[in-house]
Amino acid sequence: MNRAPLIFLGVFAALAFSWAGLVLAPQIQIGGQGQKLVQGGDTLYPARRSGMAQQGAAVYVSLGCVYCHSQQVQPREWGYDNARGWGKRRSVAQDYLFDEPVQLGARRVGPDLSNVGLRFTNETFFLEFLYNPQMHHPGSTMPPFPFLFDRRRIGKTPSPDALKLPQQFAPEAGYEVVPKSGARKLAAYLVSLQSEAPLFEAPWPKAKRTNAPPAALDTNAPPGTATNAAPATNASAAAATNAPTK
Amino acid sequence: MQVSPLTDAPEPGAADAPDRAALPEDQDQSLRAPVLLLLLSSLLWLVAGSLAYVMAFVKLHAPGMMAGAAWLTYGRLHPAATNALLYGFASQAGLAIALWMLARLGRAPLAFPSFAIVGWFVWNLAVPLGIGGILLGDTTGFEWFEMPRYASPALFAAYALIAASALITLAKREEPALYVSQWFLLAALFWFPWVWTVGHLLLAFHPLRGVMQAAVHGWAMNGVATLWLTALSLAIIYYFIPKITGAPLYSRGLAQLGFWTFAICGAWGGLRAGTPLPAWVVSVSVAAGVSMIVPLVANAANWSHTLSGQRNQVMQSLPLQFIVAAAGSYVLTAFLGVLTSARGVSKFTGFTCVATAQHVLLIFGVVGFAVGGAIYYLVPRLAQTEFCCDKAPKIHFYGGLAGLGLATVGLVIGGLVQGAGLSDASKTMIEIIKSTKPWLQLSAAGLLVLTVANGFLAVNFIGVLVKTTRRCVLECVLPELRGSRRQEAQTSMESGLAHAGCCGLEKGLPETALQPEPPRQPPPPALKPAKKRRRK
Repeated sequence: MNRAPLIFLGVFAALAFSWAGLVLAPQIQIGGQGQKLVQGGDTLYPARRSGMAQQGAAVYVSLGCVYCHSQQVQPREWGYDNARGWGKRRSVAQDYLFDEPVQLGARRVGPDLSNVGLRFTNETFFLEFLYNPQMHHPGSTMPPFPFLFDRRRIGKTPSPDALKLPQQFAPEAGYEVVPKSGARKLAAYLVSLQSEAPLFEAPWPKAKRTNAPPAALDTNAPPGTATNAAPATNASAAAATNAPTK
Repeated sequence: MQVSPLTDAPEPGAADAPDRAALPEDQDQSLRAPVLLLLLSSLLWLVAGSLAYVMAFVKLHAPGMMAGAAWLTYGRLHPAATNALLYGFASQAGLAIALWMLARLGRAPLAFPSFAIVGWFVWNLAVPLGIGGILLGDTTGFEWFEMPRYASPALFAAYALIAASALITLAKREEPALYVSQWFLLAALFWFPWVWTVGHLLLAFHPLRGVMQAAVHGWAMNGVATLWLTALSLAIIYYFIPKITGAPLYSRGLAQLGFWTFAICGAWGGLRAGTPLPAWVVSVSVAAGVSMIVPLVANAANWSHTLSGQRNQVMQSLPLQFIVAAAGSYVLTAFLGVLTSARGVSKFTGFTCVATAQHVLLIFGVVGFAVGGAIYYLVPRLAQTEFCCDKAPKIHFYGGLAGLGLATVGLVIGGLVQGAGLSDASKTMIEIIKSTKPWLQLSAAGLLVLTVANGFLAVNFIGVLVKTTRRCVLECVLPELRGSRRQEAQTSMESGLAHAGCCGLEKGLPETALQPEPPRQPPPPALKPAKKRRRK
């Protein structure tokens, strides 16, 4: 171990090997993914986000939401995410196809947001929440984002977009709170967070025993051909899941 | 003194043995500007970053505080503070000490100090640019790789300049034998640029599609933590334990085991079980994370054997106490890393502040204490000026230890409480937040104590620089301007450093004038001559 070039070679090999294993190989395996059909339906998944939601993703990133919110539903057999209603199935690679950048998140100070658009379908809810989280969740440690809103004197007619705030959170008389475009985009993005469609590699759990191979429940194998003739019980729900947001 | 058959000559102990006294002066002159500048800015970043980090912690529980300022929102302040600590403090300080160690171990002056100085300048433009970008919302969105596209290449350029100086020093070394620290430095200096460029290229410049970004990010973030910051700190620990005690490293073979398992397993870690990636990738990464137990045990055994019977040395030398604290922090954080890699544990700790505890231990414990010890050892030698007051370094040490202890305990227990809550679906998120609150407040208090303690180091360091500069001006620059030799003698007498020479550049201080150091045992005579050059 007294020859620098030899140590260098070893050190190079160690990192190159890990890079090939953790980056290159999965890229070859799943890098070519495209949209695919949801299980038992004819909808392509995932749907592209609307323009507003796409811009909202950038707001989400710039505000650093990821430091408190994850976007990855954990395997069902771990027992908690499903029980909390955060997702019927675990997240798989397919869910993130159009995310740019992918915001998996490593901490859960707040809830997982993978399917928050299914839990709250109304943009107004998110706007109020962003203006002051205490309104809906007293005791929350999520910061309010007043800078995403305009607090302004009411003109001749009140703005139709102004938030309808309860007395406790409302600005003084003669003023109204109107979301700026950043808040609207962010709300559109949050509503678009829906990744529950049943997939071949991540089907919905069956209420009763079915002929589906149990191994399929927790595999996150790369997408194969998606034309699996599974029972079509979930087709309509799956289609609704992917309904584009306004 | 234990000498195992595998033991090499104690390179660190012998590197500046008295018979080589002529060299360190050239060496010190080449090292002085780059090392002191890098250390100065790193300590300023440490204080600024710690303050911002504590403030982010407080905001986590007082969400209404200063909520009107977009740039101070938690999601921007926290990453900005982390980046200041990672790239402003830890990386910069690690590089400074790496330059010093490479020159000393290679018995050669620093090659191209001007490269390192220009690198220092660019580095300290790039870091504020990146942090400013994060505060303005230009983040890339990937933890530890948040620096926007206009800052990351500048940081890389700065790094390349400093690393060039370091690697050329290594290549031009006079001492052919490579010591353990040099293995780790050579590796870290190569690993960081790879991890940094691949991370930024595949996340920000040409992002891979979909979840592959998460794979790249897991790999790269683990690279910065393990292959860069931990490797730098291990080099420092491996250098100073034998250097200050005078005892040779217990076993070179064990160090080789530690090094290679660290390199191989360390590079594969980073992906948590449950990540939505192909199962085999996650499994391999989890296995690598768990097998980090091997380098942990190898390193810890090597150090504890080297230190056994050296109790007096440890008690007498404050720098050595810092190094031992860094070693302890490494053991603790690596152990936490092994535990939380395991599938069964990460199920519960995966999304909790146990991970934050690991980051805090890494930055303030492993890197922080290692750098602190190195600074107390090398700065008085480089600056030819002692640190002020016996008490200040002690306050730094014990305050740092207490603060880090509180912060770690708070974050680990808070994380376990949080994990238990998260995995119990009957508990609401608000209830979980309430149950973790006291623990997080404890850790915030600990971090505040730690910040104050580190402030003692920063102020003391600036004091040394001011004293050195003033002496330099009084003794050299002014007399030279006035052409008066008499005055030089006079001011020298006044400052009580009659033999210090001009700016400490001409003559070294007598050893006794330096910071009190335990009497060094003479290098074992049997080992020196017997050592073979170019041993394989």
